[in-house]
Amino acid sequence: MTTDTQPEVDREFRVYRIDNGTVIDHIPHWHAYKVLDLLGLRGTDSLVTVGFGLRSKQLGRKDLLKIENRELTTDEMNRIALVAPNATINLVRDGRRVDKFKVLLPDTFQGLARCSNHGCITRHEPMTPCFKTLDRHPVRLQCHYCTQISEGSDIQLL
Amino acid sequence: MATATRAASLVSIRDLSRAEMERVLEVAAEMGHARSDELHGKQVALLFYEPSTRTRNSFLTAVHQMGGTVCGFDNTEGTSVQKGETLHDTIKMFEAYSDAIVLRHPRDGAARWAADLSGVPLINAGDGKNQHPTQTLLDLFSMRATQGRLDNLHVALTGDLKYGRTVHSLADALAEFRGNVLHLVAPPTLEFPAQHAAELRARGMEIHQHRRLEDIAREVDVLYVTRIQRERLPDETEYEKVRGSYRLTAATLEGAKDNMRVLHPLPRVDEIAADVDATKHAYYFEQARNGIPVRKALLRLLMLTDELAGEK
Repeated sequence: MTTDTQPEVDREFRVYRIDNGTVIDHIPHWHAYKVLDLLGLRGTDSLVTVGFGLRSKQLGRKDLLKIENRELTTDEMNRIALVAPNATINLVRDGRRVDKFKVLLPDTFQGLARCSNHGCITRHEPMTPCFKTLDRHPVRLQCHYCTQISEGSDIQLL
Repeated sequence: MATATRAASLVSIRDLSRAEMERVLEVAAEMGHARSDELHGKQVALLFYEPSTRTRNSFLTAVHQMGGTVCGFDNTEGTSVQKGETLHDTIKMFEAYSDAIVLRHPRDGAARWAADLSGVPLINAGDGKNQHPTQTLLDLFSMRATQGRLDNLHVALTGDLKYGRTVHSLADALAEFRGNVLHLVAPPTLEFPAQHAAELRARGMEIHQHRRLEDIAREVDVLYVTRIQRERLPDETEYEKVRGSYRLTAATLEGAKDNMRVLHPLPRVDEIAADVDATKHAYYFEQARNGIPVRKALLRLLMLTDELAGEK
């Protein structure tokens, strides 16, 4: 796996290679912590390498995460798409990248986030929020129930 | 999300196409206030989590005029809701007791959630600050009754245009028809949301902003007045100032077009002076009366036919 601007040798010293697991690339700068949190990786025994502020043609600066011995579920990738809509997922097995794809928030989805409208029924009933994706870059969501639109810092992850 | 058993429901005015709105109005005109027994043997649950005078009683009257029975509650006191029962469980219980549910609830989106759960038709009688589609339909019915058409009308909306759900839904509905021009008259703190106005313009609607009722009263076909709530304004001084400038009096209506009618979803406080009641322009009490045939039409179409498919 190479980042888009740094030569292989330089990269090796900055972010260690993994034999098995997942590399999440193209995370917006300073958003790696959010991704760590939404994957529940802080305070666990998981072996995680974090790169902050790596140079990127696409993003200027970006963050990167390498998680050893863990492959992500679709639900986890959808959660990542909420905070890092340009993120790329690289699946590594036996030291080789076997798959690479971009995260993509579904057109509609359940759970993952909370409606930003405090008066919304989803905030007051034991139920799963449900959203329509209006835009992916940047993310704009519409609550299926109250139709409130959430974007930017309004989007609260569950 | 939708369940396999979900019945056709009315949650938002946006669920209805122009043809469906016209069908409701046509059936309402045909049914009027006449009695029938078409709901004989059928029961409608009226679940009102919040107080309501006109909406609840017009639904109650509508069911009675059609020969049906009602169950439910008009406040949550003494019900299982007070013991902490969820809306989910209340809906599942009442769908077993009734052939349709009419719901008013203080939370935004409650009606969509209930409609997704319900196996019987659900009619939204107001959910929080979100939607009140039956009010919009009776507003349209009143406009057609007084103007003879729903196209090419000049309609002024005044009062609380920022938070008022009735004006937002009415503007959406009028945008479904051709050539309507909207005149928005509100103080700066209670202006119609810019994003919503942009959406309406994108749908081809002509919109003008005004600050004074006097500037527009002589040009419009319909003047739709809404109440300005004290708690929406930053302080008492601002409230007094705004209240005075947006108060409609008989003098304001001098020189208005013959066909011009004043509508109000009611209750009014003092935004329409009593001297307006005696003018030929006052139509708000007839408008409230129109709630009965419109709600009867919805009960017939949703309970006895499959003409309203539900969501567009």
